[in-house]
Amino acid sequence: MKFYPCSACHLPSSSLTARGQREGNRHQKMEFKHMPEVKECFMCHAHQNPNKLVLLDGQLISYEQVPLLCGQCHGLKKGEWEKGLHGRLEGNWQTQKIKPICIECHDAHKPKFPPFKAFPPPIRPKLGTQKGESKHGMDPPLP
Amino acid sequence: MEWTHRFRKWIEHRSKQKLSRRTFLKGLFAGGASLGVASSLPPSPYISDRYTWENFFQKHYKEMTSRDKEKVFARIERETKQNYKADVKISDPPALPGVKFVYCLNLSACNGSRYCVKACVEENNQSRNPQIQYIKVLELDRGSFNLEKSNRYYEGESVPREGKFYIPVQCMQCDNPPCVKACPVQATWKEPDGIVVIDYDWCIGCRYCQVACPYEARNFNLADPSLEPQEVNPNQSYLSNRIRPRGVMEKCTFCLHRVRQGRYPACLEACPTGARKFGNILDPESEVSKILKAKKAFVLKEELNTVPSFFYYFDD
Repeated sequence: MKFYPCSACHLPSSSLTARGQREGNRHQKMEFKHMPEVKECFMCHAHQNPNKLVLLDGQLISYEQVPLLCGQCHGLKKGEWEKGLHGRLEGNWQTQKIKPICIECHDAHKPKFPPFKAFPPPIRPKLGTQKGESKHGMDPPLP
Repeated sequence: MEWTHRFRKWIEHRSKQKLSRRTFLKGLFAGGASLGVASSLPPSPYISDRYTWENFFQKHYKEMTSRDKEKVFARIERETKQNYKADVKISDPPALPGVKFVYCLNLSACNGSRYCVKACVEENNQSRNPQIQYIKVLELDRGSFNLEKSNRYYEGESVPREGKFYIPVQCMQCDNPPCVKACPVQATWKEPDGIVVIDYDWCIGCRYCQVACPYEARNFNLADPSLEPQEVNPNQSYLSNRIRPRGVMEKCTFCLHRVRQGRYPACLEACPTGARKFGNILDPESEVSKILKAKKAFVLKEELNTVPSFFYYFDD
């Protein structure tokens, strides 16, 4: 969502604004790996209104309502998300649970989580010591 | 400290005048110093060997009055400032009524990133050298569930690795805890909201609980915890994340200082995939209640009858 609002560069019916023509194609690094069969961007993006998304029945929705869009195919996951069983929760367990919407964790065009770099493993405990080496790492100075 | 009360009554009787507590203690101090107890030993370089009178006679947490607690917390804040050069605030949140904490972990979502381990270490002021980590993430081959063949030292260049799945293990806050039964001095006990806690000033460091725990959840401070001043988390609590002295046990407390104020534990907030779920099992609307009803949740080492409060489940 770096380039929001989309209407800064895009006009309805696939033409570009002056700024869009100036800046060229900024979506080059975008990878699309969601549904291999789908090559139609306008299945989700609204043709006539670049700032909005479109559902299968033609209804326009804003980006904040994106669970409705994702839930068209991923209905079970959306049901779990609404109950709080899928995804992260923020806020308080007691009073206010904030559920992030789908695109806050998943990249919409490549939703599968990429491989992470994990933190380093724990230090293996050393059994036995070398001569002169302290076992605990923090020996007091000798009197 | 009953003998001190009787001693004071005897002195009052002998001196035929009312003793204030202050003069009485001064007399005891003078008597103690004249015996040369504290001053004849050479100064010890270990932080925790520098016992003071009040430290030695401190009561068990369950017996402390709120005035005792204030003094103890002030002493701990002073010592932390002196030893670790960090300003901290010791709090003591009580257990919330009608709450029993339960943790659920989605093994289909965990990708072994160890973000929870790092967040736990930073939140709970664990010693960096020697290294203590409450959470151990085990790597197992898919299709197997033999914990003895698990690998906790896996390198993290790109997780999840092919054909493996990951199980983070921490203190299970058992309902039938073997560590509580093993402690010879009752320094560890189970609080009403389900968390098993340790009074670090009462622990004698015998490590019986470490042997008793089947999940390797308890850690021992072999040396004075080494922490940089900027690494110290200043929101501390007496029972959970204050900096422990050398020679006592420590373990995961479900971030007691956070959850008793309604916040989530640090590991849950750090998990990048949202595999961790936490809540009150007595509340039927909480996620953990729904998970335990809807999913096939299991616990580790169920045959040992420890009744853990930490459940694992897979997405179907």
